[in-house]
Amino acid sequence: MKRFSLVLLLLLGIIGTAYSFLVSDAAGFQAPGLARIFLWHWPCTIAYSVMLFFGAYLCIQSLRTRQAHWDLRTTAALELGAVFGIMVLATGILFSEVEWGAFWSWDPRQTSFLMVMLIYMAYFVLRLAIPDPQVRAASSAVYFLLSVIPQLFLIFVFPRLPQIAQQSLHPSQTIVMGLLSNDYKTAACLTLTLLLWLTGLLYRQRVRASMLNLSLEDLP
Amino acid sequence: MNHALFSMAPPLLIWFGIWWYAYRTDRTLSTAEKALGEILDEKSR
Repeated sequence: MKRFSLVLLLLLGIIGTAYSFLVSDAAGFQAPGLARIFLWHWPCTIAYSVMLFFGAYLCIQSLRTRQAHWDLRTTAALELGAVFGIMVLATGILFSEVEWGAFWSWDPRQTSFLMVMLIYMAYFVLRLAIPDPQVRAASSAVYFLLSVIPQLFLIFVFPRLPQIAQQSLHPSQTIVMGLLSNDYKTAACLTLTLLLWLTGLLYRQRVRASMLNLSLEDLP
Repeated sequence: MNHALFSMAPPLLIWFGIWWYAYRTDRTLSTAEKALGEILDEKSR
């Protein structure tokens, strides 16, 4: 199975990275050549959002059926979401430095996403605090479902409020208004496809590993 | 120098994140498969 990790690494490395360096500089940015950070930042935000909604669906299934395998699936999905959330923050920090002049600008969008991540990570802290598997599954699923509402507000509503959008340095309508060139769009879509494809593979592997561990615990 | 560093950092970070998660998952899976194999071997004896 070691080969699996290597194949993932190679695919992402060769195709995604090579293409992201072939795009032309983006106009309208302080550092046009470094605006290509977007090609990695944006797909991570989409992957994070996908795992957020998928995680919420799995939480509902877990609460509805009370079966252990739904809890394992939820944890696997939300772990992957956490990886992408951290990547969103990290690439955002790099973008902030090159385009806005500081690693942390206290931009409303940057700060609201930090809050999202703190709310999100509390899910894992809560799980660590509850030893009983059934109580842990139910409590963490309820917590996550409740946390989806503030997360959605902080991701999709808060940064678009007129008074907040005016203060923010973060471009919010870049894609909607068609400000990206075609090669940028192609590269971003390619990176997104790769990331989502890899996410699916990793999710399946993670669920397989957790299921195997669960069956080991159940063996007489 | 700075330009190259900031251009390379995002893909490297994402690579590393995904590789780390895949590696961790692989290790968990290998350990579980090995433990299951040992249990099945013991039972078959």
